[in-house]
Amino acid sequence: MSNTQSSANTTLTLWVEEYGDEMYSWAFYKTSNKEIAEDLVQDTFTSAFKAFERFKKDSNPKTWLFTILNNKIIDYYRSKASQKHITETELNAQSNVDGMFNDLETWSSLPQMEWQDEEHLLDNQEFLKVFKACIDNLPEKWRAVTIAKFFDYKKGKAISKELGITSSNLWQIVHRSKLHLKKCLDTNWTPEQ
Amino acid sequence: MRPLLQPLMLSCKKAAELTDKSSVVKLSRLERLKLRMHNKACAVCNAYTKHSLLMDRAFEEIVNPSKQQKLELSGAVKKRIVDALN
Repeated sequence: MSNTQSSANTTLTLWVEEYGDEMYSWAFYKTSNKEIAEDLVQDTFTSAFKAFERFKKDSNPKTWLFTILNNKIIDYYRSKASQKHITETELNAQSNVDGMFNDLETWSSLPQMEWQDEEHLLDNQEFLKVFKACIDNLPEKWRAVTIAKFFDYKKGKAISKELGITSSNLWQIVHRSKLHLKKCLDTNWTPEQ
Repeated sequence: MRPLLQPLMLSCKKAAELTDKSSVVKLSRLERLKLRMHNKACAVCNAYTKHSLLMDRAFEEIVNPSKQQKLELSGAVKKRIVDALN
């Protein structure tokens, strides 16, 4: 290992300690999945190591690392959005969602009209926990695309462009995710009365 | 609701579609009118619209880590990351 490499190594090892947790939290809330978040943080440090010479010594390491991390997150969304292969999880989720309507295109079983504690749901940590678990249950492609839609509150067109899919493809995936989430929340948040 | 009785009538399936579409792209005036008419007559779809908006807000809440509990990388993962640098 050369001198430059070993200094890069020492610095980055310190940065893993210093910024690793914060980067991981950020990546987790942008992907809703622990393993994916860990991999994205690892990829970020690997890229930072390779590009270390380009890091300006007077700039802020945290800003630099988060720029790389955000690019990794967008790359991840994009790769999932353009995935042509339909996984088995996706097939199952699709038939689950299709089954919510009958041939007359009305609801096949009545969804819940009211969720428990509806007025304070966004302050309710228990609810957010259930909601996150439901999101984690979505097929990976649906999850990535739907979270991307909420990532930095961009307009639908800008996001679909970033993801490399059409805007109708984008809203259709978001729609399927939300039907799936609605059913998950109906079952897991508001227990049968 | 029975669908297709009138050109302006939506099925529940289409109404739910338009509801979720509206949070991603702007609906046309005709689409908005059809959805409003359907939801006025259909309590179930009206409730779906309410829940769809709530889910939007919940999403915004959870992708914003500043409000959320901080997480920590495990020692094993940190080690894996550092080892990969060599």
